[in-house]
Amino acid sequence: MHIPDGILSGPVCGAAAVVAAGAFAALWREGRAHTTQRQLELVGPTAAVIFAGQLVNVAIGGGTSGHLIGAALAVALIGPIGAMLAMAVVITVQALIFADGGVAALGVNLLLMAIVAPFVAASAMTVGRRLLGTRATSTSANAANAGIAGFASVMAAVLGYLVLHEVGATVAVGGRSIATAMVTTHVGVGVLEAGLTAIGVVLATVLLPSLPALASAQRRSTARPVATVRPAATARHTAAARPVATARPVPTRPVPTRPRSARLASGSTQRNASLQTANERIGR
Amino acid sequence: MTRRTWEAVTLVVIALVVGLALAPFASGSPDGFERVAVDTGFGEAARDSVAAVSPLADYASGPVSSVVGVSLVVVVGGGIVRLLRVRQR
Repeated sequence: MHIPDGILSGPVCGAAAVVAAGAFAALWREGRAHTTQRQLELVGPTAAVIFAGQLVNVAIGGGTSGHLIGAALAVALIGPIGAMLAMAVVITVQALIFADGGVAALGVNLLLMAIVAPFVAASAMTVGRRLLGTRATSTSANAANAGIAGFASVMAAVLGYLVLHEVGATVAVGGRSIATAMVTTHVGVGVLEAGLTAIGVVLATVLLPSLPALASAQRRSTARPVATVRPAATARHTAAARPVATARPVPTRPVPTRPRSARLASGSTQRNASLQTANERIGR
Repeated sequence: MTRRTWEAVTLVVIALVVGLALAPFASGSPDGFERVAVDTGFGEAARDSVAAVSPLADYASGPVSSVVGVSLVVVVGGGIVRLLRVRQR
């Protein structure tokens, strides 16, 4: 699914790069409050697994092969923000060093495989966990959930490509026949992705049960952080002050006297701002 | 070894095992996108990118490509992450 140069017009490649950059910035701003240092530290090693996984093309019949994209696996290992960064690193190194995927089309490949695929995978996994409820803690349920998310992520990337193709393919071939061919071919690729993702999650659960996303997937069903239901208007401030709002015991936290529920409901930006500086003072 | 180091090392070792032991058995058939591009004809427009001059273009010299690629993404990933700050833990 690495789009080479020449297939899509220059303006479409440029627009895709701009959209990808904007999406990175927006998702980082939204997601950084939910991202931990540990997840970020594992971006490089996770990227290594994804890079290696993408080297292994598997025949899927009809003289066609497919390989792992890995967005869902990365989300399952280190969460959505880390996954996007890891995918971006892989895609960029592939394009610049291995000429896999175009350089002019780098924005297209980043958009499809480092934004769309992980975003859809993460969304699908969240929905899956809700549906599974408490059963989401079992390894097989978690693996199946990630596998299905992997399938969804491949299909989303294909649909994303079809949109770009419709807008800016340099060789005009009937959009309908391409859509049919792309979707049918990539059903096989998606099934492969699902299988490899599920295997990866099982392996990781056995070898590295403490991985951030796996561990939090197990925690999530028992304890849901209170701060997730904060009012939208104060989202940024609350997120900044979040260490205080979580259930984690912190000896030196600057505790306001009012109960947490009142604090969250009040939406006092001033109070949150002072909390924020207090947190910064103590180095959090 | 701390838990963090253990996780990082395990992931990199898995990557190297896959890249060195499994990649040589990879299918040489075109992938899904290439297959459709060839079959429907729009693939004619594909051209080499400027990176085609790279000595490792198209993963030439297999095992070397695997090791170089794995090392590079670890280094680049680690470097980018150093520039980003999130809460601790």
